[in-house]
Amino acid sequence: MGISTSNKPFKERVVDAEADHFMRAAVAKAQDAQFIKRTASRRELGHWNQWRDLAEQIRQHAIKYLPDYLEEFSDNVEKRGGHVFFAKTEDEAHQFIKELAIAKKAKNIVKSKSMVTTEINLDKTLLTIPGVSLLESDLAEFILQEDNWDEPTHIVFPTLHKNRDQIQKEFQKLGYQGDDDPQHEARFVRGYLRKFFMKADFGITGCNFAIADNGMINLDTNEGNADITMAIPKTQVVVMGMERIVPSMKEAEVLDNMLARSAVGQKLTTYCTFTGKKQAGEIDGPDDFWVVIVDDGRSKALGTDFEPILQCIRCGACMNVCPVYRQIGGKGYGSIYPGPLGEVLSPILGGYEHFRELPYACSLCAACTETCPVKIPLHHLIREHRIVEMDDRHLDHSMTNLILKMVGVGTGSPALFGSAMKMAHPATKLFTDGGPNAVEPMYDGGKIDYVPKITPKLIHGWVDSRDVPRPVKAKNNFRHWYKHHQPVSPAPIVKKEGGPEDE
Amino acid sequence: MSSLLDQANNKANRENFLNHLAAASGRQRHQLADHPFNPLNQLPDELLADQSPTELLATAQKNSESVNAEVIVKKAAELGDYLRQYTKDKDIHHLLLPSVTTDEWAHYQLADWAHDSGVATVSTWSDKYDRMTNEQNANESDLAVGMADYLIASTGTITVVNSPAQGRGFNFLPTRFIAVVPLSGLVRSTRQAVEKYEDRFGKGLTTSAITFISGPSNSGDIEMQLVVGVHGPLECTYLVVADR
Repeated sequence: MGISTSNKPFKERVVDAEADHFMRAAVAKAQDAQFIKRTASRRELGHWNQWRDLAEQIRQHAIKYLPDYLEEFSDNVEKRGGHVFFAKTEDEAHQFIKELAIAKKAKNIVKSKSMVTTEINLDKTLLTIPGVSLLESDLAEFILQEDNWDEPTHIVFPTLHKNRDQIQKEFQKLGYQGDDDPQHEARFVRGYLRKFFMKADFGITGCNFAIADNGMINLDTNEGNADITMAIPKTQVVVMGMERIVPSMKEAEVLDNMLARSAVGQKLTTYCTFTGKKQAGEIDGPDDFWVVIVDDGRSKALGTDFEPILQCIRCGACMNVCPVYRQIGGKGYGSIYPGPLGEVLSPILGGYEHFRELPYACSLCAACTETCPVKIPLHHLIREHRIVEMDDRHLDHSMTNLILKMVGVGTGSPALFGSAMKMAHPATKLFTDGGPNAVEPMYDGGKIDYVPKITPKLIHGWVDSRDVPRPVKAKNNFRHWYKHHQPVSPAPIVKKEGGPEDE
Repeated sequence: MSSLLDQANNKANRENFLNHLAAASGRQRHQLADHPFNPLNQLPDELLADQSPTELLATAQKNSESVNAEVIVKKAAELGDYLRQYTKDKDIHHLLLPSVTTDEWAHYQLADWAHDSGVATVSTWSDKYDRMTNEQNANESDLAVGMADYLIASTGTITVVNSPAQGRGFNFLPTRFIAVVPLSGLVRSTRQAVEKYEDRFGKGLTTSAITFISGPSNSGDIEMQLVVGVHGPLECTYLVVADR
């Protein structure tokens, strides 16, 4: 299962995340730092909301005419001497690239960062070819690879959960003798990877945007690794999610600006390259240029309420503002696509069976929708998943019906209702643990915080992770209070119609 | 078992995939001719449109410096001296040059300097050597001095195209990179630069890569602390030629 990062149940992942204090502090720090950078860079551009309108229009248009643009793009790649393969599934995509690597007798494969290659489990597939070495060249991806393929926690900052000392220890295994200064660690990787780059014969990159009208691909990076990956190896494979297409370089240019500002608060990434197969007379670049266009479940969103998720440009701004992501980090989601994006995309790509909890890891605060540069209505789509899960998939409503029937009987009889009001407080004493209650002042009657182990899971679900206020004593309840209440004298002034504003 | 590789550039593979998308979306294929993309606003064209050339250069300098690129503005007559001083100050041992024509060097009054820069080892990126010899030369160089087309004010960016004279390895492998860019190549925005390239493609430009470069390579992957200089050049200078 390509996008899944964990076999543990959701709740265990959350417990693990809670215990990882470094990760939580790092995520909070990253979110705060990115908030300042992102906001400043958007303000600097000016008219941010109109830029968003334009970016949304570009993405919606591309998705609406997706088959037409993919056709135009593949025609143009072919015209430039390249090859295009359309892969419906993860298996088709990685098998194709594996066959290609074997056919090209690849020995040293170098990769630049790409979410879709992680999604199709490409690295591990290629490493099953005897005699093949493969290195991730993005600094963060390299760190993850060297830590026994640790899973990423963020789509833009995959190693957010690691500190410099852990990285120093990993690098020591490769011969690093320096201190824990990130500058020194990065320089070590430069030297280590440069040797590999110089003998690399097969390069794999992702694709930020594919340009329909000229068959080029557009890649944004800061480290320069993608450009070296496209310079030295004679074969280049571009793996692209099928939705990453734009009509022309003009629209790509708009999105490059939006992406860099949204992802890292830069005006543009350090390198923004439009590239294709080596042309006549040129000395380096790919002699062989292959594009693998991947569906892998994306088409399940087409024509549905979830179609807007295909507008995504993978900037990660939504996870950088998400209060839930702040607490549980990327690994809590159990998908390579975490945060609000992942809550929408993971159940589509990976199925509700694997990711049914994700749409609930959300407070519906809408901060993600507000920050999204391409205006994906993320929190609406998260809610839409809940509706699908509840209405379409959990068709058994008998429990709810039973509960509501009991409520009907109880509230329909004054005698029953009256005694229930009296008994509610003493009866719920059984369900308190009697210990000190941290949030006691919030609830007059205290909190229900204990249910016996044998209680059905459904009830545990309410009590274990939520505050359930205990009904107040009968003499403190609203009806009793209202009956004995005396109005405050003198009566407060109420604003009169037509009166001054501040009355 | 037939090879998956046979399915690349194969009509059935493509049609099957695209028809599935059309069916899933409930939309007909081949509608684009009647529904071309019409942007709902002109913001990309309006960016910095109110700035004078002098203001634009100031903006370009400010934005370039914010991405750790050094901007040096010189007249053509001063370039040779500047570069000689630079290679001396930085203790450059191996210089990489593009195989542009003598006329192109002369255009920037750099023909003499390119002929005799005073650096111990000078390599030229050229089709006289095979691919890996060029890459090795670039890898061993501690400075490349190359040509750039445009300087983009809004982002502090220069642009280079891959060519037989100046390849990808040229721009990315040496330790330092100096881009010689004419002031006439100063543009407002990435949009303006893209339009110029689209125009040049229409007039016969062939290149496999256009790269927009904004300063030296960098990364924030370790604890989000900015590290300048990762895989690409560690230092990056835009040498703006004021009278060209």
